[in-house]
Amino acid sequence: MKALQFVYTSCRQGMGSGSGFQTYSYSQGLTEEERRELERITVYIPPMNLPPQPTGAEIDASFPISMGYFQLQTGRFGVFQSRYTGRDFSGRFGNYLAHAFVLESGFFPFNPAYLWRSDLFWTQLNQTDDQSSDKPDLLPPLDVTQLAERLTLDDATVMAYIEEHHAQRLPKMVNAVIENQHNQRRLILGCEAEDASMLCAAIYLAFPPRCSAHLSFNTYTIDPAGTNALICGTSLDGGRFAFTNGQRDFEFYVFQGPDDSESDVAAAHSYVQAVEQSIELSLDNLLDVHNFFDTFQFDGLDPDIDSGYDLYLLRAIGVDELDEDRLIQALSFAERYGSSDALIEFAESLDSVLADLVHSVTESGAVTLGRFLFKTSLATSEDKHFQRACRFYLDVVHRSIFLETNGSAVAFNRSILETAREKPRQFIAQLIETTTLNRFQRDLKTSAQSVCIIQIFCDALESLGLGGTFLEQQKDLQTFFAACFRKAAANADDLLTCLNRISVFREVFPRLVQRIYKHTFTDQTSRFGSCLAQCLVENPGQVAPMRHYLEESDCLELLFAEYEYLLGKSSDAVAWFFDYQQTAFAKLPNFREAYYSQAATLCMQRLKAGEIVAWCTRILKNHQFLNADTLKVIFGELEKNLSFRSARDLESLSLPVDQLLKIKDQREVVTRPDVLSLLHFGQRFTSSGYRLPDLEDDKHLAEDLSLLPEDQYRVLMDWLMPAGLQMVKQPSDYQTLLRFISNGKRREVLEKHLIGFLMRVGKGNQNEVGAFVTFLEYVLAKGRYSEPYARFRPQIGEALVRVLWKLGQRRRDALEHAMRKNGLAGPERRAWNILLDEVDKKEANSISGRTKRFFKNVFSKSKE
Amino acid sequence: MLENHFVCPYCFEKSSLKTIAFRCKNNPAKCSPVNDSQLAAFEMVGTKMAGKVFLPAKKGSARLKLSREAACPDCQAVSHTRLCPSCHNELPFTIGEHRDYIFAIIGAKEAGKSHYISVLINAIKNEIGVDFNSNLHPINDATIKRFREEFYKPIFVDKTTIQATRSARADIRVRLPLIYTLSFMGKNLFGKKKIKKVATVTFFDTAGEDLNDQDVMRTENKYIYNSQGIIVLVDPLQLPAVRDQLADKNIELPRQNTEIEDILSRTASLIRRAKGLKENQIIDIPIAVAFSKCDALMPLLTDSALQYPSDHRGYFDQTDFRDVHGEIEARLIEWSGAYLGQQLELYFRHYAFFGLSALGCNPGGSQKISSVRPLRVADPFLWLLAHHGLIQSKERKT
Repeated sequence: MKALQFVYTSCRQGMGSGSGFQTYSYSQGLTEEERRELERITVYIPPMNLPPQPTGAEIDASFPISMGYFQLQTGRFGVFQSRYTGRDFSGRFGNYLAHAFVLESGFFPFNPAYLWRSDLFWTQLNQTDDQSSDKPDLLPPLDVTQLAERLTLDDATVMAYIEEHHAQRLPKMVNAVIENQHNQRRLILGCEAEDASMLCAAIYLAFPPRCSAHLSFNTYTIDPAGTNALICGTSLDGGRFAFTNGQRDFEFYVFQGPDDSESDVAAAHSYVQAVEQSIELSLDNLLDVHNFFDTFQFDGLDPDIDSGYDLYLLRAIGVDELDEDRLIQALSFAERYGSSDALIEFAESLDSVLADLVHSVTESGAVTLGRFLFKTSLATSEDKHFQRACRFYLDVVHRSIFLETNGSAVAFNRSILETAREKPRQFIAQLIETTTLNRFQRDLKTSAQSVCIIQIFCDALESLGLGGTFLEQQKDLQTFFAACFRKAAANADDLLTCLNRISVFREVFPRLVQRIYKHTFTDQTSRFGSCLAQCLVENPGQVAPMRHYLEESDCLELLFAEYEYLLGKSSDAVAWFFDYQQTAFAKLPNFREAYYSQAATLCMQRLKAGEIVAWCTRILKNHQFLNADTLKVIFGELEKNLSFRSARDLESLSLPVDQLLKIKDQREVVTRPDVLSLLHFGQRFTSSGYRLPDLEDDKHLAEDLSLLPEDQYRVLMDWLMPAGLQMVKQPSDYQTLLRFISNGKRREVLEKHLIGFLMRVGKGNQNEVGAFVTFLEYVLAKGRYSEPYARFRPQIGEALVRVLWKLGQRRRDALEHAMRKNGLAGPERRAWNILLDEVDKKEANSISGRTKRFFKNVFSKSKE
Repeated sequence: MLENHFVCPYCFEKSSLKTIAFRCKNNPAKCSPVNDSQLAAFEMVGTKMAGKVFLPAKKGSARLKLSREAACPDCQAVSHTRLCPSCHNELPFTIGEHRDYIFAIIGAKEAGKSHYISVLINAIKNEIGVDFNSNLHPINDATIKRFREEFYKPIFVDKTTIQATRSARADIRVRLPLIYTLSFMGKNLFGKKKIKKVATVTFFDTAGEDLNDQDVMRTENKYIYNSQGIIVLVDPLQLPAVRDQLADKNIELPRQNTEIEDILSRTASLIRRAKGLKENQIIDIPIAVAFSKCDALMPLLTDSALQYPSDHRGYFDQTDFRDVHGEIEARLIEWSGAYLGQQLELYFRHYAFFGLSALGCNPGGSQKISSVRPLRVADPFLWLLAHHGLIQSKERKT
């Protein structure tokens, strides 16, 4: 291993372009960035309280040597010494010379602090070099062994010095170094550089070599706050460090400050015991600890070192002496940094306590321990280690299940699987062993952790890369799954979670579901179906294969349960039904045959009032898939909700009325009243080709009308009467019309439509006048048409009197004229006269008549 | 408030005044220090524990104003310590209130830059203060401490020369500025005392070796192209013609050093590059080129204005300035040819020549100063102040 050299000072000619402070020379291999960093690291500023123009003797006696150990940004480690030299080549004071050795790679094989005042370091340029105007030669790299030969200190010297001067202080400083990792407080030593060098050497010695390599120190710097070293010595009187209380208590760990003030180090790391013992007893103890650490890949200066030390204790004094937390931390350390041999050794040492630990270990501790055991077992071909790990794993899982700490069992399982999956076959063999499954079966009886168990198994299968194919082959495992599902069925959420979990095994999911269902759920179809439906909603890719598989495997009731569940969830029953019709019912004929009518009935129950007609007419397009009962219900609902308002409404139906009637005939559906037939009649009646005499031909018309609910009847008459009145050409036509409407509630209908029509007479329409005359003739000829009229006489009589009275005298005269023109004579003439008399009476009794009479009397009396 | 932005005198980043941060200065027991990674990066250390940094909570119209204080969101203690948002160095308390003037003092190694700064600041405090009714006030403890320890103590207390300035690459402290407020007193209409003008004046020292390389200048001497005035010290004892003429005068001469022309051209290139100026554009930063160590030249300067101290009483004396400027320019041509003058003419819009002596004596090899007798040290500085309109400039009354 080579050490590259670097020398920096103020000189006439160095590697720079002029004179002054610059890199005097260096070894090839140091980069520009590294040289710049070295310039900063090795800077030397003398204490301000020293003479500004010292003599050589003063420099040697008073000016502290700055010697440091560092790691460059590039990762290389180095050691340097900077010394004040007084005058530079030009005679000015303030010069210093820094000489550094930077390792090409790796760590120093010795404590770099032992190079304190080593004669390897240049202290100044010789006279010739200082004054030379020639560029100096590059410096040759030195072999590290050359450095090792020129050490000035050794372990024994340093420990003897520490025992004498810093026996109490060193453990505190070691604590502070470990604490630095989380609070970034660096160590400041307010002492002479000589003392600082010993302390730095001791701290370096205190840690295992691999860890110490990451320390950095500087025996003297004027401004510790402005440097990077973890441990900095500085001058109490001549430095720039203020030693304030804030710095001492919060920003740094100050040792040997003014008046011997020091920072408190609150933490007490267990590793420090090793240092204390080495001071109290023998350095060998510490070296033994270091040797132990050497077997691990640990190189930190953080609290993990405590775990490493606990592991050392574990080996030395046995597991019983350590509390559980520390034991777990120690194993975690071994797992992270240990070699396989070390792991096996420690795993075997745990045999005696493992059974107890299962019951007492914390969740995180169980993970650490389990991972440790598995990792250990992976490092050896001996089966007993794997068996031990599996035993512990299963014990912890059962314990978690028993304690019903669902999440922890699953989390533990997943953490272990990360390690155990290195041996998937062996692991799964242990997991699905009959005795293991039986044990889980027992767990199921005593706890409700079926979800947890399913998750554990699914996680294991998934993590170990054992998919559905493997699962399909394991009949025992399937039966076990079915048992878990049976338990989970007590809670819909659990059941859904289980279904979701097994849905990851895509290729066997439908078969698995079918088996689970057949084995356990035929009496809980709807719950299972609804959970399955929810599961499918979350896994849409599974819908189609699952439906086909359920159809093939004769689990149609599950499909229907799914429909039922989703229909219940849907806010739009119509859309959902037709959606389902296009998918499941269209593609699965058996399912359609078995459940279409039932599905339609269910849907119909959820329809809103305004949706019924449209839905019924739409579904009747597929009437061939509906059974007779359902069809009758659908027609019944349809007819109940059909409107007679106008032909336009009927046109908007998705099936025309005549086709609906055709379906009705074809499927022999009979309804009373037959609203569809009435509608069909209405369509014909209101069309131009219909004649009143045709009314006599409709056989069921009268019966249907009489059965028609009153509101529908009224609406129907509203629709038909205008057309009917238009068809009246002669008085005898009223006979036919009145006979047709005489069924049901015709009195009101008559009043509303006939009289209403008559009331409009006289508003100028000649046809209407003609119709009114025809009607009068029909009424007056009551002898001939007595039969239907008789029922209406009182109403019609009163109404006619009222109408005629309202027409006024002039128009009554016009009517009289028209009647005469039609040849009114005989009884009709007499009846007409009676009618006019009634009108006169009404006129006389009316307010206007009385008023006229009153004024007439008044006038006549006044004349008199 | 003069502008919405400021240039940090530490990192030279331009920032909005609204983005100024604060550092909690409460007792660390009440508000624990944290690692300030930005400050650590500026100081090139791994970690830097310091009070928490926070932005002032501003509401409504307060958002538009420059915050002078803010409460720490953690401990609610009010802090007045304002920081640069980029480097987290403490900003002068006058930031955003007065115009800032950065003066760079450059020159070859051993030209006497540190000595000049030391004597100049002392002169401004003691002599110019009286003549111009002004006061130079250090803005923070760092300035007081550094001036006292590194500049004042060696010359005025120890009577020794200042030690060689370390390269800013090795010692980051060299990069730090000396910041002062320069206040000019006056009277109002009713004859009452008032402060008429205030300026923040920042001086930067540098190691001569840091001007030997343009790359180093660009990283370590950012203040040069951010400055409002440059004072270039030229050691006349480095000029071969002067050395020849003084060879027989029993004067101890320093070793020969970097060519002044090289430093000037590097400075001009640096400014051009940093400010994005084209080759045909002239630099606007005023530059004062001063012959330092003029006391050693006295045998060669018979009947020269430089024999006498300047007399700028309340105004910058243009008459005296023209005399000195003309004489130095002529001497320069005589001793080193016209190249330097041509360079200045070519690169800089405003330049002037001065002659001065910081110590007034030659410490020689002993590096001891018998007595400090500064000569015309304030001239370049006053010329820069006059150029920026901070003081009056007029002809001497005869």
